[in-house]
Amino acid sequence: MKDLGGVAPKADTSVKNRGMGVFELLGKGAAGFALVLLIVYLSLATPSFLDLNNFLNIARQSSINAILAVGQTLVIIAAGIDLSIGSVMALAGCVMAVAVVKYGVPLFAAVLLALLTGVAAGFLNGYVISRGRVPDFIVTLGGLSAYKGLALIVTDGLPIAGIPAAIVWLGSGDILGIPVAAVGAAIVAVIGWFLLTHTTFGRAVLAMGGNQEAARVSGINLVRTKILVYCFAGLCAGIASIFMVGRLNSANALMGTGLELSAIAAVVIGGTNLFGGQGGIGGTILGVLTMGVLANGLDLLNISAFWQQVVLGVVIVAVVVFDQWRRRRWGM
Amino acid sequence: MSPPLVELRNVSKRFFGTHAVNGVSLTIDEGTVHVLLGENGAGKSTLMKILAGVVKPDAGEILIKGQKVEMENPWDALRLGIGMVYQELTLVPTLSVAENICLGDLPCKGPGHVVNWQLVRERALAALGRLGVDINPDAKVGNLDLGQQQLVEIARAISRHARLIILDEPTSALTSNAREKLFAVIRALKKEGVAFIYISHHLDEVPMIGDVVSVLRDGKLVATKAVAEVDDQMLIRMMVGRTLEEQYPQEQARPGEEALRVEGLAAGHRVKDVTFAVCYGEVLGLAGLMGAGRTEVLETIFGMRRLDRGRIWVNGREIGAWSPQEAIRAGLALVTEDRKNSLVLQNSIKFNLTLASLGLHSRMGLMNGSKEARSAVDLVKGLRIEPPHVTRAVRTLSGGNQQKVVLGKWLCSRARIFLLDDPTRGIDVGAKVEVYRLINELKRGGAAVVIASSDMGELMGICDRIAVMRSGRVVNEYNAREVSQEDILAAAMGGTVA
Repeated sequence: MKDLGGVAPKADTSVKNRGMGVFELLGKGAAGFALVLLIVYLSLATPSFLDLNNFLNIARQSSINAILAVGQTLVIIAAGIDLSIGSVMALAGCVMAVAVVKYGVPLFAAVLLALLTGVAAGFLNGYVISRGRVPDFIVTLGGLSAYKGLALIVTDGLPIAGIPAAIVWLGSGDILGIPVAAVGAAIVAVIGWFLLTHTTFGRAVLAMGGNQEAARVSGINLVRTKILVYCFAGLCAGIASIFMVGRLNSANALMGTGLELSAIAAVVIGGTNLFGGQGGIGGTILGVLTMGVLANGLDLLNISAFWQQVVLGVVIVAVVVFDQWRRRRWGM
Repeated sequence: MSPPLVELRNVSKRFFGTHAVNGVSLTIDEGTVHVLLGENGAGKSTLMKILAGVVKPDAGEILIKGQKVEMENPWDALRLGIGMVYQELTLVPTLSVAENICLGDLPCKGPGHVVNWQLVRERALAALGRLGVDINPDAKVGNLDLGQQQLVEIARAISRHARLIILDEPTSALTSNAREKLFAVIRALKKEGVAFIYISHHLDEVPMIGDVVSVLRDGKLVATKAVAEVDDQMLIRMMVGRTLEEQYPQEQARPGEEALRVEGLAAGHRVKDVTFAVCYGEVLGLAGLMGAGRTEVLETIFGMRRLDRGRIWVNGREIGAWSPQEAIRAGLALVTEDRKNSLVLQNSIKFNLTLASLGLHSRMGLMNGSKEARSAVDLVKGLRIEPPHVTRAVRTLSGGNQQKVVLGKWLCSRARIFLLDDPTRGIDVGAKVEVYRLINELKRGGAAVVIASSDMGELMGICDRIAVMRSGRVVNEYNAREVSQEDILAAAMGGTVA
């Protein structure tokens, strides 16, 4: 195979891969390409787009999708899929809100409860998938319904109001002019990136998704890895729930509806292979931002919310088609 | 004299520069069973694929009843009356017997191409009737046993008016009862003038069913004889050929402590009774034909299959049920038969080299990047992996270099007991010699090695001792220096050598 972008000279056995070629940069994902195109176009098309406040707004609006998508990225790289994270997020948020508002649980403990709820739901998903040998899709499809049902039970189907100010600040406040939720999303993204690239767990996830048989022969504990990766997705859903409840200034059982699909869309736009083994957090964040910029731009262009759905759908497919073409063309 | 049913003249086929089939001429007469023998890799399968239209020959011609024919695909072959029954059956288990028999040629009626189910059933019944077997055409194929499924395949060929049916190791998975049934069908169809090419590994079947026998070796036809003129000993000699020259570099064994011992191992239906031991500084060969259970034995020892019966000792300590993780920790390594099951192809050389030793390259779950890089670079240099770029995706390497990455992974995990399952499968001759050299280096370094292979010559060349497996059992063990290839093959096939 040809060396593309002239990365490494012939006899170089060094590991560091300094200086990316143009193609390789492009290879970082069709999402980056689409994002740049979108930004350039919107800057020219609407005067109000290129504005710091607008960008902060996009960051705020994208943060919950980003947090969910980070968890989803790891699951998909491990050759799984988590359809339940929207419901898990709703359940975790409702548990927290009910604990604080109805039972007077201290705020700190309630937040912890939200995170625990997320992890527990993720653990259950992972456990049934790996121990029961049930396909990921089926188990989390069941979870999608069951966790939402539990959230309805916890809240009696009513919105929970009277959320403490601290939570509201997390969801809609700023810190040094930057939305707190966006800071939270950035921290989660860094954690996800670190887990994937710098830990043995990340290696196990990549290996399992890339070739389950090879991972098994190489002594990777598949059951443990699967359970842990779903626990992480659940934890992300728990974290997202706190920001969500804060932003809505209330909690309700249906607040996560459809978010699992947005997260999957962001992961796919970001170039992560839906069949596992390949992908990364960087791409996912680009995917999240592409979706955020698109929604924002279409708003500014006064395009109806109905058409926005259509455009988003077209963009998802177009980005993946471009990605496939690029891989075939340049073999990356 | 009328021309023979099928004639091959000087047929050749090259794959990647090596002759898989080299100038083979073969004649098949109506109403005869032509047995085809040869070791694994002798070219039997390629030759049959040429006849079945799956592979196009580079040279030579095929004549049917004296007429030269060209076949572009299996449908052409079928139209010309050549049907093939593969070892791995090609039936759809969820469909009925009748549907399977007519599959690909379902009779239709009317303008809407509606399937004429009555005709489907009639055709199936007619075909099954010609075979003289009692199989319900409405039964689901998945509910039939293997022998019956095979008969359905033959019925399918017959319903397409096949005049020559190729059977690829048809009895490898059959019970003796089912085998008798199959032979009865073959004899019945023979009377109608149908010819068979019968590929087998079982020498005892040659006089039972064959009229003519041909032996292939290294892609060439060694001889074609009437079955009455040959015996087991002759056939084995023809298959093995001349004695092997010393083409394998070899080290004198200096066996140390016992590394691995298995006694009465049984797992699943492929491993029934396996006993052997191997010491450090020693190479043990596990010989046997395809399907003898070699792979399964290694996988069982490595903790990938459930142990039903028997005991395993590693370094003198008995181990019960264990997992690959525990096996690796105890110093075992498994090189799988299919390289693809050992490698994450789209990931880098470095990723793959350290995959089985993440613990050695991390601390509390955090990867030590520089240590990892050092290990990878050292291994790439030591094993002469080409190209020497540790970030290169393994997918882009040649087969031989991929195999080195697999071995490197286990060197990296500091394995001391190597289980190698056909380590030279599908790699070129030069890379093979490098793998042999590596095995010798392992031995010199005091590692214990178990190599499973169906290449008897290879095993005799690199092993100290050879245990021969047949149908899930170790039937005999030899000192590699005091045994002939004929003896091993005879033990593996269950024939006798006077």
